[in-house]
Amino acid sequence: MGGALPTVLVNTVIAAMPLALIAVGFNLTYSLSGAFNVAHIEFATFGGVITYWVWSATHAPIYLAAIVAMLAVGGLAVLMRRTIIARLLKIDPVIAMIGTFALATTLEAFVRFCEGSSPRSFELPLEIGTEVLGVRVSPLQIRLVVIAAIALSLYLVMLWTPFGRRIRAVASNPELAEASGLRTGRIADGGWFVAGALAALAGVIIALTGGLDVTIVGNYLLPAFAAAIVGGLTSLTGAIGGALFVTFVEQAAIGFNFGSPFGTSVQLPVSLESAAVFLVLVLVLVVRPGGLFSRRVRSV
Amino acid sequence: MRMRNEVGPRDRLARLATAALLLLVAALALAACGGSSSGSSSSSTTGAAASETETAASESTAEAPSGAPVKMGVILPLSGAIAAAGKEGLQAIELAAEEVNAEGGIDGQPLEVIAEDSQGEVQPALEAASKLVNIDKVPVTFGEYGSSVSLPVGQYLTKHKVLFITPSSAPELRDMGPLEFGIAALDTVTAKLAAEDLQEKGLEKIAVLAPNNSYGRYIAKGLESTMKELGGSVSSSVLYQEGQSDYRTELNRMAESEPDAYVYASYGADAATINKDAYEMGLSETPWYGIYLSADIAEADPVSTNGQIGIDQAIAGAEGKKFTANYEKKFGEEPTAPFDAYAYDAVKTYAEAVEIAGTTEPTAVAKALEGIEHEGATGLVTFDSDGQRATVAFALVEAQNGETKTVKIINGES
Repeated sequence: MGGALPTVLVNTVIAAMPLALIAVGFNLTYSLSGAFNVAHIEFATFGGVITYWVWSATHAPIYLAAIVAMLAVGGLAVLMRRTIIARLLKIDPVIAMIGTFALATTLEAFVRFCEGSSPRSFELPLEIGTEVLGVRVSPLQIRLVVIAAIALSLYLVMLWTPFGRRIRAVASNPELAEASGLRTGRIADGGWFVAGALAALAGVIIALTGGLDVTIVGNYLLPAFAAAIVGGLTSLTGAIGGALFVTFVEQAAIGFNFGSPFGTSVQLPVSLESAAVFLVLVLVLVVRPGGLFSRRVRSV
Repeated sequence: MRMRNEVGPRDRLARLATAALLLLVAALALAACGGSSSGSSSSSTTGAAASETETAASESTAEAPSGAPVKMGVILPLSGAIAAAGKEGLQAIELAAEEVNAEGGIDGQPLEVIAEDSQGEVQPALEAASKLVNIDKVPVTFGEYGSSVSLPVGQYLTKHKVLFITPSSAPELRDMGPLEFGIAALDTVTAKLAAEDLQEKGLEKIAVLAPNNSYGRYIAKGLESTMKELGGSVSSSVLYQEGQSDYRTELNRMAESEPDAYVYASYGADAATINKDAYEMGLSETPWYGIYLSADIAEADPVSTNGQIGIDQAIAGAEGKKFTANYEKKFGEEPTAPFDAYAYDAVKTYAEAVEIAGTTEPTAVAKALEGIEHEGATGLVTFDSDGQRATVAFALVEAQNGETKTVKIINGES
């Protein structure tokens, strides 16, 4: 077993990918529309479920089913913004947040109703892992990390296209963008589509590694919030760093032997894993309210 | 004008149209998936099953039960992560009820099963219990595998003077009072037997992996104390958070302690993920020992569990053979979940106790249960002074192609 650090690093990269895909889209929609969308996590749930439906019904390759799911969930996100969230936001942001919570519960109940909430799997063949930095990683996990990294890179590139420039304009100052003649509604739609599709991809990754289960995806909700907030809620890219940071804390808390410099063994109980994340979240909020990567001190 | 694009005011007609469209989409979606769903509503299906049981009984016997039915509430996880085990348990109960009714019922009264879904969680389980008490007014309820669910449900039921028979295994059950009966071995007993078996096999230094709940904690604690007592050791004890998509970090931590064997007590989807991760990480070269092995391997890829050893609840003796044969005949497959036979025995034992008591009044039936000696599929069913199973047959088992093979039957005492 080669040292704890490589293990923690490799596991961090693997576990951070779905989190980053979810959190980055969460911040994108937050920046564009000012909606703290709790139902964002359901985009991941639907991503996994729709992929499974398409795959089991047509026996198409999983990646094709995943693309269909990403497009469908992107459409769902646009529909959700137009029909429900935009209306709620006109009333009040807090009402909108509670509204999205209700929406999340409804969507989850819908999936449970359809799937009977019994876990299913894609029945991929098992493969013994290969060594990466002395850590055994399965070929599937390597592939998924690469796919997630490509998706995140495409997202970053997208932000520098003309379309992305408009997104950044609306995100940083909606009134100014509106006054400059940008069609903010259309641009918001585009952003929500991208956010939905990225979350759907996260859902596919989660389903492929841990099986298709509503509960598992639900367990990503709070860490995704943590990643989004640590990365800076109004930052379009910070959530990627936020996800890596949050996951690293989580993995390090239970992966390191804190007594080894002193020749003893001091390990945190595994059950404290999630507590460690939220302790760090509180610390970050106190020290750097704008997120870990913000350069400005918060001005109210 | 500009405002229109984002959230501009629309006339009422357009708003109504959107609402109608949304409703239509929702209705279509529900209809579409309703067609493909295997159905998750529990009470209606079991209601049908119960009446089916009655008709089957009246066809096959001379003395068909005709009196007012004896209602038996059942609370099991029929959806959620351990739904597969819950459904099998319910089938075992239906089989037992059918056999009781085929032999004329309980003093001429047919046994009627009313099943409710706990979803494996406390809140829905309590709602189910409340329904059974207030609407169905059952005198007895059988329920829940999970100790964290069984404890509150049992407290609620016994407080409302309903007899509670449970296959769960938390030592706290001892304090639940005279209306509670535990049909399974307590976790402490299971852990002790497992530790003794590990020592006998020369596996002195073990790493323990169990869920962070009542069951997992008692198993881990029991393994640790017995291992130490017998001169062995626990090199790493990990209580994992349920419902994760991977368990690599937990497994790494165990691997670093270089154990002679990995001992785990898991179930459902988590167990499948744990086995997959362990296999991919190359940890299956070290021996794996499963507590209730059939539950550990039930949903896992057989490739990842081949060669695992462990301990399991035993289906033993003539009654056990009869149970397995009848179950297979009725449902077309062998019972695989470790608690199936407990569920079956619970129904049969209850029926016998009601006959002895001559009434379904819970306190009288509890009295009868205290002195009962029922030859069951899991060995002789008798209860100690706390209402816990006095002796249980256990099997030492081996996993082969996703199934457990019994190597040896041993006896555990509470």
